[in-house]
Amino acid sequence: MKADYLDHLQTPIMLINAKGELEYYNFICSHFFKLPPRKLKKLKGIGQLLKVSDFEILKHAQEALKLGAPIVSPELNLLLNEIAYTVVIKFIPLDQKVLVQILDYSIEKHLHEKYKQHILELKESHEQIVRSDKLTALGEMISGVSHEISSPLTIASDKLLSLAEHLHRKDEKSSRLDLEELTFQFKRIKQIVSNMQNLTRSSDEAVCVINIKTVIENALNFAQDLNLLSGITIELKGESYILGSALKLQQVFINLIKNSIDAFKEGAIKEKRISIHIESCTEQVVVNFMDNGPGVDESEKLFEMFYTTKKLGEGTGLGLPISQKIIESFHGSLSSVKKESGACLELNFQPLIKKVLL
Amino acid sequence: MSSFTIDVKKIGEKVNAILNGQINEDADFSALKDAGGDVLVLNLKGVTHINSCGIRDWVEFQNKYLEYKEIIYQECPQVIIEQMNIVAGFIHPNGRIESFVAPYYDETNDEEIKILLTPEEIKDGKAPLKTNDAGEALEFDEIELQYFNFLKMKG
Repeated sequence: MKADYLDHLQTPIMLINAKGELEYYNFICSHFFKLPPRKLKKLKGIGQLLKVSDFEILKHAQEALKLGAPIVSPELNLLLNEIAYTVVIKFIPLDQKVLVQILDYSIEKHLHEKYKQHILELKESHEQIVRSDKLTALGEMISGVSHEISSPLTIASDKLLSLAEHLHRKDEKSSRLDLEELTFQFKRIKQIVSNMQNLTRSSDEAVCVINIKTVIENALNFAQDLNLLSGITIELKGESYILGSALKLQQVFINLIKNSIDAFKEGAIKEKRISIHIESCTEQVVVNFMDNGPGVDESEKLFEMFYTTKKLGEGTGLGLPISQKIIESFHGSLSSVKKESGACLELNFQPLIKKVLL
Repeated sequence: MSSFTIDVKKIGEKVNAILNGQINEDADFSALKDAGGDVLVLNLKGVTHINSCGIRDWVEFQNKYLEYKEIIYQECPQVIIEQMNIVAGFIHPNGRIESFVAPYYDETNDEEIKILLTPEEIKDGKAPLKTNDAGEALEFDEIELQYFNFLKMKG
C-alpha cells in the first residue's frame, strides 16, 4: 500500500496489517529506532520492532480494527538501544490495516521531573531564608522589647520599695502617688507585651474591614514601645477603610517605619520626619509613606528578593518584597515614587465602597 | 548537569569553536556570545546528542547573539543532520555547511562506516560512490531523498 505521505509526519508511524506485518514505515522510524533502512526492511512484524513489557502491541492493533476507532495506550516505558523512552502509542484503523503512531514524551517527562525537583528545592530554600529572616527579626525584637520592659520594670521595682516605705510611715499621699506610678508602668509593660503578641499571632487572619489609620497607629505604637521613634516627628493624616488583614498590614507599616529609621541612621538628618498621608477617592485609596532621609534606590531592584543596600548581616532584602506581596494579596500595589528629597512609598488599595458616578 | 562544552579560539577575525557533548536544556552557549570576529567556524564533530529543548535554545541563541558575516558548520554528525532535516532555522541565515557525516555500509565486511562528505559531492540528491579498501562499492545507509533534504533548506 502506498503510504509515502507518512514521510511528511515528524513522529514515527508505521502501517501494519491485521497480522502485525509491517507494510510501511516513515523515515523518522529509522531515526527513532536507530536502525538503517536496510535493517528495517528485514523486519517482518511490528513485534520485532516494538517490544514493550506488559503491553501487547498486536492485540491492541487488532482491538482498534475491531472497534473501528482509534485506541491510545497508557504511558509506556520503551527500551531502545539501552535508552529508556516514555511513549504513548496510538492505533488508528485504516481500511483493514492499522496506523501505529508513537508519541515520544520522554523529554516532557524528564523536564517535568527535573523542574519539579528544582521547585521543591527552591521552596525549601525560600522557607529557610524566610525562617532565618523571621528569627533575625524576632531576635531584634526580643532585644528591643527586653530593653524596653526593663525600664518600666526598674521604675516599678523602685516604686514598690518607695510604696512600702511610705505605707510604713503611713504617708497616704505619697503612697497614692507611688500606686499611680506603679499602675502607669505596669500598663506600659502590658501594652508592650500585647503589641508583641499581636505581631506573633498566626498570619492566617481572615480578611475583614479595617481602618488603615488605626493599623498605622498600632504600628507606630509598636515602634514607640521599642523606643525606635525617639527624635522623629510623626505626621499622620487622613483615614479610610479597606478590606484586608490588619495584622499583615501592620507588618507592612512596621517594615516601612523600620526602613525609614535605618535610613535616618545613614544620613545626618537633623530634624527627622515621617509623614503618612491617607487619601481616598472613588477609585482608590492611596497611602503615601514619606520620610526626609537620604532617599531610596529608584531602580526596579528595590522590590527584588534579597536586594539590600545595607551592610552584610544588617538586612536580608526581604522586607520590601514581602510587603509588596502582602499589599498585592489585598489587590493593591506598593511602589516607590520619585521625590526631590527623601523617600516616598505609595500604597494603593481598592476602596471599600466604589461610588458609581452618574 | 550538562556535559556540553564549547572551546573557542580566535585567530584574527576568524573564531573557531569546537562543540562537544549533549545539546539539551542545560547546554550553555554563552562562550560564543562575545567572541567577536567576522567569521565563525563551528565544528560539531563532538556533539553526541541533541533534543528538542537543545534545538530550541540553539536556534534562539543563534538568532539573538551570533552576528557574523558567515557561519561555517563543519563535520556535522548524523544526529545534527537529522535535526537539520526536521527543524527550520537550525542553520543560521548567514550559515553554510562545509562538511557533514554520512552513513555507509560495507556489505562484505558487515560494517557500518561514517564518511565525511561535502555538499559539493552531492549531485542530484544522490550520495557519492564510496568504496572499501578492496575497491567494492559501499551502500549508502539512509534514504537519500530524506537525508540530503537539509541541503535544500535555507537558514
